[in-house]
Amino acid sequence: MTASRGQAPQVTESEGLPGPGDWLVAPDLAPDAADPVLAPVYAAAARGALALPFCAACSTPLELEQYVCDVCGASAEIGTAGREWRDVPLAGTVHTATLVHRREPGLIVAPGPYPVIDVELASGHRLVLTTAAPSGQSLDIGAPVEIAFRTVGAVHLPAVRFPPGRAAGRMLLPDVTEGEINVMTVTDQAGPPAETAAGLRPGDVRALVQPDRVRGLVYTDPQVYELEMRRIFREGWVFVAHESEVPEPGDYVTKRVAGEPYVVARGKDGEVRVLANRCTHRGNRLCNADKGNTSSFRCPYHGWTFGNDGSLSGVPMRDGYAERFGEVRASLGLVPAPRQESYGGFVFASLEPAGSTLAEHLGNARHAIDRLVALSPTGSVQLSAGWMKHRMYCNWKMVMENNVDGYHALFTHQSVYDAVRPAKVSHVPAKTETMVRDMGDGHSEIDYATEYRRLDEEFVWYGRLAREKVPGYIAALEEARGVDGAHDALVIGPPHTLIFPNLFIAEMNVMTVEPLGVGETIAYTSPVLIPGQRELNRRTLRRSEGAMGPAGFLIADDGEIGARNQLGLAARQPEWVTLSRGLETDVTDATGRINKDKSAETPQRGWWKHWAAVLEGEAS
Amino acid sequence: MSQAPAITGLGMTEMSVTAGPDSYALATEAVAAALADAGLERGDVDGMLVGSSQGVREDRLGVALARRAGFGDLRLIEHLEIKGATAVAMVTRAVLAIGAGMARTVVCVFADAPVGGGSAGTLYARSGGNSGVRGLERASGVLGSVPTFALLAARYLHVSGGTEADLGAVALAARAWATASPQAVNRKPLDQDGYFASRMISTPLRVLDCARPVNGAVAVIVSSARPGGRAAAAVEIRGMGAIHPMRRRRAGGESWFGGGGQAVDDALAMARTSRAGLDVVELYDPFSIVTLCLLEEYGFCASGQAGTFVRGGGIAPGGELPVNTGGGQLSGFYLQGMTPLAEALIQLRGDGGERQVAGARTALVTGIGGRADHHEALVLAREAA
Repeated sequence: MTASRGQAPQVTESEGLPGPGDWLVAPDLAPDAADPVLAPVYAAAARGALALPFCAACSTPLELEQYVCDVCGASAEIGTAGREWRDVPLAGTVHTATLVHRREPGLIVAPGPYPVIDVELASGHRLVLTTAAPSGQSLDIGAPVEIAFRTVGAVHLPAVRFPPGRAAGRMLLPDVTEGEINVMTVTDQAGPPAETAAGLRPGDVRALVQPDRVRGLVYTDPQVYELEMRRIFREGWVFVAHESEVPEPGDYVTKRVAGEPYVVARGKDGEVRVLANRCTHRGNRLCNADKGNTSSFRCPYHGWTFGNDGSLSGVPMRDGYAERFGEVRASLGLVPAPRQESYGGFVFASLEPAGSTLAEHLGNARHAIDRLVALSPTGSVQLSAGWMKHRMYCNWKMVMENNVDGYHALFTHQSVYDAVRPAKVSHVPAKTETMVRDMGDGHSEIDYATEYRRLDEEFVWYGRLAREKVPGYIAALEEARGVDGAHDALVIGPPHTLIFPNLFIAEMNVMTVEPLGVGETIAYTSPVLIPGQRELNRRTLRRSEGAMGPAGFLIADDGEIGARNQLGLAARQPEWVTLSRGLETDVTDATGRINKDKSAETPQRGWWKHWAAVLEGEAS
Repeated sequence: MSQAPAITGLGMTEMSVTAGPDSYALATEAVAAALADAGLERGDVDGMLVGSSQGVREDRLGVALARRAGFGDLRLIEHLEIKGATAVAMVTRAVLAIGAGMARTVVCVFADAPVGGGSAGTLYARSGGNSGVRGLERASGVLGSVPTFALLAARYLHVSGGTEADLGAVALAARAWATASPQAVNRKPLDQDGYFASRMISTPLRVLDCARPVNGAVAVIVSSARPGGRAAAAVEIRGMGAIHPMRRRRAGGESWFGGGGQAVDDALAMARTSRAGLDVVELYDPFSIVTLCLLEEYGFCASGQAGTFVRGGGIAPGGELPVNTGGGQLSGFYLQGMTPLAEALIQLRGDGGERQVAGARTALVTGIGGRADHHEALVLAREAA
C-alpha cells in the first residue's frame, strides 16, 4: 500500500474582521476576486490550496490566460469542462527573481525592497509572485520554494514561502534609531551564508528585551523572525508530534518543522521516527497526506520506494545504476531529523545535530507532562482526536505567551464568564491562591494547584464533574494510583503550562503553533484523551469543542485579540510594550520565580528573558 | 516620378521631460514638420496611420488626429495596435497600402505624453488594472514594466553567465552616442562608476538601465512619389519582416526571450543583403537588457556572447557594429518604435552631426512589443542621388 493523496489542510479563520493589512501592498491593489479568469485561483487560495488550469483533454498545464490548448488544440474556455482546475502541489523552483527597490508611494507599504519571483511550479505552470512573509531578499534561480498564501484586501492569493533555513534577508527596520541596533549583514563563520543572513549582530536582540518591557518590533520585524526560525525552530528542541498520533506500525502523520516537511512514522519495528519528507532522489515531497497507514512511501515522481523505517527499498529500473546500485540504495534512505527524543509520549526534534538533551531543554517543565499523564490510569495520554487548526493573524509568540497570561481572561473572555456564572473558581486574581510561575528555560505556567488543594475538591478543573458520572475512569485510576493518589490527581488536575517554544498543555487540551510568517501563525489544538475511557473522553471532546472550536468560547476570542494586537503594533510608538506587572512581588522558590497574583506578567518576563538568550546563541 | 515606396519626410517635436502639450498637439506639430521636410501640403496626403501608447492614458492618440491636424478627405486612415511594435509596423502597412493602390502618400505618426504632473514612474505604476494575470502580478508588487524586465534580465544573466557589467556596458554605449545627439534627453557623460552608483530600481536593473519617458511625437511620410521640394534624400524601404513568437510560460523552458530572429532574417532577405551589409542597427531598447537579448536573438552575437561584445566596445561609437546611434531609448528618448526609426533616417540622410556614422547607407530598424512578443523589422537604405 502506498501513501494516498491527502486533503488540503482545512484552516479555520476568524470571520468578520479583516486580517492585518498585507505586508507589501495597499488594499487598493487587491485583485478582482470575481475576475472570471482568476477567480478559481483566489477561491482556492482562501482554502489554502493552489488551483491552476489544465487542458481537460491532454492535461497540459495551461497559462492562466490560455483558452485553447497549444498541445492538443482542444478548447479550454472559461467555464467549460475543457478547462480543468486542479489543486496542484505547493512546490516549485525559482525561474527568475528580482528585488524591487522602487516603492510606489501609496501602493507599496513594505518599508524596504521586496522580492518578486517567477516560480516554476511542480505542476508545470509558472506564476509571478511575491513572498507570503515580509522579506527584503530575493532568491537564487533554481532554489526550491513552497507556495503559501497572503491576503490583500479581502482576497487570498498565492505567494512564495522561502525554503526552510533560508533567511528572508535583511529589511531595514524603519523604527530603529541609528546606533541602537545597527542593521548589517551578519558574517557568521559557523554556518553557511544562507542560514545566517538575518542582519542582526550579537547584542542586538538583547537590546530588544528589558526586565520589564520588550520592544514592539519583536513581534513585527522580519529579521527577528528569521533569526527565531534558525535559533529556536531549527537549532533548538521543538515539539513535533505525539506518539499516540501513530499508534500502530505503519501509521504516519506529516508535519512541518521550521517550515521543512517531515513525516513522523511508526515502523514495523514499532519505532517512531521523524524523517525528512523528501525523496532522496530528486527532492519530491514524498508523502502528501496529513496522515495514514502504509508499509512504504512511494515517490510519485519516479517511483522510488522507502520503507516506513526510512530505508530505500525500491528503485524502478535499477539497472540504470549498474554496479553502483548497492551504494545508491545504502546511502539514500530518508534523512532522519538530526535529533529526536520523547518524553511522556511527546516527540520533540531538533534540526541541528549538536546541542542540549531533551531533558536539559525541558528542565522543570517535565513535571507538567508528569502531572498530565498522572491523570491516566495507564500513565499515558492520547492525542488521537485530530488537530483543530486556527489561522491567527498575529505573531506566534503572541499566541504562546497569551496562554499563560492570567490578566486577560476577565476582559478578553468576558463572554465566558457572563455565560457560565457562577465561575467555578473566581478569576478575580485577588480572590484565589492561583499563582503564575516562570519555571526557567522559557517555560512558564499558571498553577491552580494551591487553590484546588485549598478547596480539596475533585474535578474543579473539569466543570466540577461529579465522579459518579465517570465511574469506570475513577475505578481505573484508583486501581492504578490508589485511592489517595487518584484523589490527589483529580484535585490538582492537569497543568496549564507553556513549554518553550511551541507546546502548551492547556489542561485537557494541547496546543502547538506553526509560525507562517512574522504576522501569521497556525495554532493546532487537540483534546487530551485518556486511553480506554470512553465516557470521560466523550465529555472531553465536547468541552474541547466549546473552548477551542471555531465557535468556541476561548480560542476565537484569543485569535481576534491577537490580530488586533498585531494591528496595534503597526503603530511604531511607543517603542515598548510593558511587562512590569508584579515585577516587585515576584519571589523565587525551588520551582522557579513565582507570583501569587495570577495577573502578574511573570511568565512573560521569563519567556522573553529566555527568548533573548536563545536568539543571542547563549541558550537553547 | 513614382518609384518603390520610400520615406520622404521626417518630423520630430522636441522631446520633453516636463509636462506640456497633449499628444494630439504634439502629433499635429510632428506631422506639420514632416510635411515641411518632404515639401508637401496637407492636401497631398491621402493616408494616415496613427500609433499611440497602450493602456497608460485615456486620452491616447487616435484617428481623430486627422480632423485635429487639419486634413481633408483621406483614403486610408487607421490606428495600429501591436504594442511597442506599432511604430515600425506602420511603415510596413504604408508600403503595403501604397503597393496595393489604396493610397499614394501616407503619414505615419506616433505621439505620447505620459509626463504629467507626477512622475512617469507613478503613472506606469498606477496603470494595469486588477484583473487577469496582470491583476495577480500587480497585487504581487509588479508595478510598471521595470520588475517584469528585471525578471527577464535576471534570467538572461543566469542563462548567459553574464554580469551587471554587461548591462552597464549597454547603458554606457548608449550614453556615449547620446552625448553627441542634440535630440537626446540624457547627454551628460557617464562612466562605469557612475553607472554602478545609480539608483537600483529592480535588481539587476538600475535607473540607468531604463528608458526615460518623454512627451513628444515623430511623423514620417511614406510615398512612392519623390516630392520635389524635399530637404533630404529619400530613404528606401528595402526589406520588411515581422514575427510574433508564441512563447508559452511553462516550467522547463525559456519564455522571457527568444524567437525574434525571423523578422530580421526576412527583412534582410527581402532587401537582398546580409548582416554584414548593415552600416547601423537601431534597436528598440527600453531597457539595457533588451539590447543584449536582441543582439543575440537577431544574430549579431552568438548566444551568451552579447555581453562580451558590448563590453568590448562593439556597439559604441567607433565599434564594429554601431547600435542605437542616437543614444537609443535609454539615453536618447523613449518614443517607442519611432526612436530607432527616426535615428535610422537621420543617419541615412547624413544628418547625424557629431554622431554621424561615416558612410552609413544601410540600416536595420526593429520594434518590439509586449514582453518581446512582437518583432517588426525594416531594412532601410539611402537612395542614390
